[in-house]
Amino acid sequence: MTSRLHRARRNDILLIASLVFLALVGILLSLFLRRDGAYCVITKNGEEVGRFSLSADREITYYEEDGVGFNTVRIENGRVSVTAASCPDKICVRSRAIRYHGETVVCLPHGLVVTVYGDEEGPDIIV
Amino acid sequence: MSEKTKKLTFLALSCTLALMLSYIESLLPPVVTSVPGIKMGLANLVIITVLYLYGLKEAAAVSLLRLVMTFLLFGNPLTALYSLAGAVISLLAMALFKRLRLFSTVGVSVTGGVLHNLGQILVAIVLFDSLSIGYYMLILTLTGTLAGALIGITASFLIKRLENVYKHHS
Ligand SMILES: [Zn+2]
Repeated sequence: MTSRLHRARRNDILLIASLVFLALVGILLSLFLRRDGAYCVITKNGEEVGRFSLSADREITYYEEDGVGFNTVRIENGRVSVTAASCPDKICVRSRAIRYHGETVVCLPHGLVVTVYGDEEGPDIIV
Repeated sequence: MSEKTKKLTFLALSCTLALMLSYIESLLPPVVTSVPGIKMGLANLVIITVLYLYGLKEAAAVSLLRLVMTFLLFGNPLTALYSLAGAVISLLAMALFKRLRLFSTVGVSVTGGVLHNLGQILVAIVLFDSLSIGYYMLILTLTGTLAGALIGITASFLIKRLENVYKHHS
């Protein structure tokens, strides 16, 4: 009985240590391997609605079908962010500006996703 | 009190507590700002306690009732979908690992915490049709493991205290 508990405790620690280790290695790798973004793709409910280079500053507003709800996406100094939105949670507005390949800003209520991609054409996934 | 009344009272109380924990969690800043709606799953403290004291059926009932109530009170169908995916996958994993007897309550809670996040990320990937969201699983594995461990330690104290009063099978 006690030995089973003992073994379970040891397994707990092994589990926690290996998960933390894997996550940390993954995070470090992704920090070292991250590439600067070249352009961003904006999708609404899974469909692409815009694709822009990050090298030219601009501001675009996407309206909901009702014509009232909106998200304003701004590209500035090679970073992209959502600067204004009518969604109730405003999480997209509070997300920090993104600039690396694979990073995303999501507006859940409006189904809007902004993703940054690197030089190569087309989406590929970072590890 | 009859055994049945005692059990019903306990499960009702668990639901309320789980609901309160979900509410408290909704006030905390998000774990990953870029993917809205992802939660650590504080309510898992209650779910795992019920799982150990009664079983999978009872834990699933409390979990489901908690989800429905959260939805009715501060409902948003999309966040409800996240919570549902997270809750189902984490409860099934916890029940499986509890049965396997590989880990103590803490390890079981950690698998629940990590898979809770995995369930939500999978929903977000499908919902937004964006594989790059999967990248956030790295940071969520870290937070899920730590939150799961803390919840597991707290739950093991709770279970020890409550099992003399409530446990219905030995
Ligand atoms: Zn938003």
